[in-house]
Amino acid sequence: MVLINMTDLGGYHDHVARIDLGDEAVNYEGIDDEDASKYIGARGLGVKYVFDQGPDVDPLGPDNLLAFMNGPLTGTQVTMSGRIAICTKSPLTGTVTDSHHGGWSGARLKWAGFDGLLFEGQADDPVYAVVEDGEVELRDASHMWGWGVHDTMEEVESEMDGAFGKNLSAMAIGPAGENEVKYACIINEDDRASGRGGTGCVMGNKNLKAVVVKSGTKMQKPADEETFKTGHKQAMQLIQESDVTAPNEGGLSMYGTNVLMNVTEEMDGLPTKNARYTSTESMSDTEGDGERIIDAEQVSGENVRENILVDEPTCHSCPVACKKEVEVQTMHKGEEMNVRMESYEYESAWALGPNSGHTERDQVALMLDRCNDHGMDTIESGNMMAQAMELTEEGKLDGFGDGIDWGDTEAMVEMIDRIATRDTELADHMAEGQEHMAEEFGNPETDVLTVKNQAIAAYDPRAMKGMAIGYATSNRGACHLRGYTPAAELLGIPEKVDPYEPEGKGELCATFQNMHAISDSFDICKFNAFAEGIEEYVLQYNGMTGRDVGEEELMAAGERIYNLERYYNNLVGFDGDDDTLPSRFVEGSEHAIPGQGASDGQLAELDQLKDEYYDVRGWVDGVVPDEKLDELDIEIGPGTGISSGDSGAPATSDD
Amino acid sequence: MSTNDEHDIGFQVESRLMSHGVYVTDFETTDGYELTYESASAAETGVIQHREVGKVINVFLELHDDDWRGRPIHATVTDLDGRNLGRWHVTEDWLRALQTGDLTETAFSQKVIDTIEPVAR
Repeated sequence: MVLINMTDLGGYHDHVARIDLGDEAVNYEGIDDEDASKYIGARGLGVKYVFDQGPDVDPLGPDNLLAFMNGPLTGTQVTMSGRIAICTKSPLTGTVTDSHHGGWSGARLKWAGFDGLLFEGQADDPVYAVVEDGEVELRDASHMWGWGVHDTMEEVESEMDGAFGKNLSAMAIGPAGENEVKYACIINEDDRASGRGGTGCVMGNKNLKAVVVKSGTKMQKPADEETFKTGHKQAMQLIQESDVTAPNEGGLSMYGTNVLMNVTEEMDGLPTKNARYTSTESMSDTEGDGERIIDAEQVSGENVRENILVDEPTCHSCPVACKKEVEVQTMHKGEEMNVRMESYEYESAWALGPNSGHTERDQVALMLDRCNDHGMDTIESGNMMAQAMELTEEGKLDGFGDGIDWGDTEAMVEMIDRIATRDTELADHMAEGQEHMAEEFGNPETDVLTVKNQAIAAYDPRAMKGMAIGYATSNRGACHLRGYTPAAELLGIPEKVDPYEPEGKGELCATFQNMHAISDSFDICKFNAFAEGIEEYVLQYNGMTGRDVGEEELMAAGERIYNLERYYNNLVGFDGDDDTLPSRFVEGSEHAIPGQGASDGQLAELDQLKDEYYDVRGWVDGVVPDEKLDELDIEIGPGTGISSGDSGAPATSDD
Repeated sequence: MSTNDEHDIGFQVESRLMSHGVYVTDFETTDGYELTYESASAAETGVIQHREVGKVINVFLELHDDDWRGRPIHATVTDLDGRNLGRWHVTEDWLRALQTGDLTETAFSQKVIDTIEPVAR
């Protein structure tokens, strides 16, 4: 018999629910103390739980685990600490994935007495889970099946003795999740989304309509209050002094994430019209016949604030308030519509706007609202439609009527509905992701803007070389948030680096990836990192948990988590060949489309970037060697069977 | 609010205010609430911020039931080094009038703002 030493670290409840939806059994367990120390919590611990399930599970089978995890800093006094991590094996990418959302869901789960909820199996009929006072109960959700997220939220609130914003939070799927759209997401009562990787698809496959958490505010006391407060004060001072995060002054606080729209437009780092161009100005220069036919400013944070902003709600314990709630009167199919929604995010507005060939601000708001209600990732949805527009233009979708034309906003709104419900044959194909579309109707080498079947976000890798290697090596497919190098490349945090310079970007990217693995495991918002650094992380983590780790030890934990994910993916079958970029971005590719305007001639030096990155990581062609697993004290699984000295090692840049 | 909650209110107030850069250094419950807090924003500007005073009062309102009859709140504000920057207070009557609707939020806010006594430098 193996005795497991349960954790008594501060910030934990040592209480996780394991729910088998197949037989509606709820069991409770503690958290292994060593795991809590090694993998911190939230993302790190969630990935460990997914790993324990085995890398070979079918993402849409009963054995796949859907983990709702918070971390030791979730729901605490730490700034921006209302987040929750959803971890599972992605049906979109086949990798392990973690997708976080803000608001109050994570905080309330902590206050309800839980460190996490682990869902296994598949319910015979739709259910929703009610979490309160350390217990989980499953209830019938048949009557809500087929409903949008917003109606579901209304119904859930009416069935509970509680209220959103006071003592209730919920995380639900819409029709996209129910219909197993591969990029369906999970949305909470404040329109915050665990957007990427198809977590909502897994939830729908499990017949789990919603997770509802009821709890008042019950913050835990830090184990070492003095250290905690010292770290908190340091962090707060930095947040208030930052040009980015300063409340009511900083760019993020004033304009939200969409403060970047004009920035990337100006430096030609905004992929436009399925990334044929690097800005809307460059598109106008080529296609406008002397006219400015499209202008990203129309969907910028500044424009939104000036014209349609109605509120600036916050997440738990956040002084920044980056969420921008908007209200628009717009037309759809001849009918006037009023749409009030949060939040008009940069990446979402980009995907459904400039990258799809238009900048109709209010139509973008309508599309965002439709995506949220259907529970469908806005970034992936926009990319899917941009791909379909390009295939339509090339005549590759001629079998599907008119296909969908560039910038046809009315058709885009309709298509969102159709994809979520798999209503037409074309929409049914589009629900499967870009690689499927390219395999069916185009060329997988040229017609995708994905890495590992997940689409890129609003940062052009031709113009930001840190983002190029970040997309290529992200453990969950193309993603701007695994290593947010634009902090340095655009905003100068912690210091400004030349975005076009490839040298040094492998190391920069790996450092950001490790840092974010820490904050995602705490689980606090990455936006803290626009102001504070590892020193503040260490003080607050030590203060809350009572541990005494140093900066190196905490950074090693971030590296361990990133390597655990990579190791999982290696066991699934991913290696260096999968760390790639869409061909139109890559130097040397016959399909390359160089940047224009301020990024004239720029392409991603993929081989050089990967060589440096793998060298920094100590990986062999994208695979974690067994020596690295030993070095990082990763003890689970069979190992990769690859040694640091194996011949598969990446060539140096001199070769 | 139960007796246990009353014992805990200092921690609750402190916890909820930290994310606003307000650090409670002393908290006493008698007939009312007496607190001293360090203010990151006041430390930066040298002025007690009206918006921040509102956040402090809101925390007390949130922590009590909707039918709270109110208690006076007296606050001393310092910078992050503990240097006194000034005081402000709220009376029980104003809180009660706010709850009953006899005082608008604007009128209530003005009354509180009028009590701010900055320390002369």
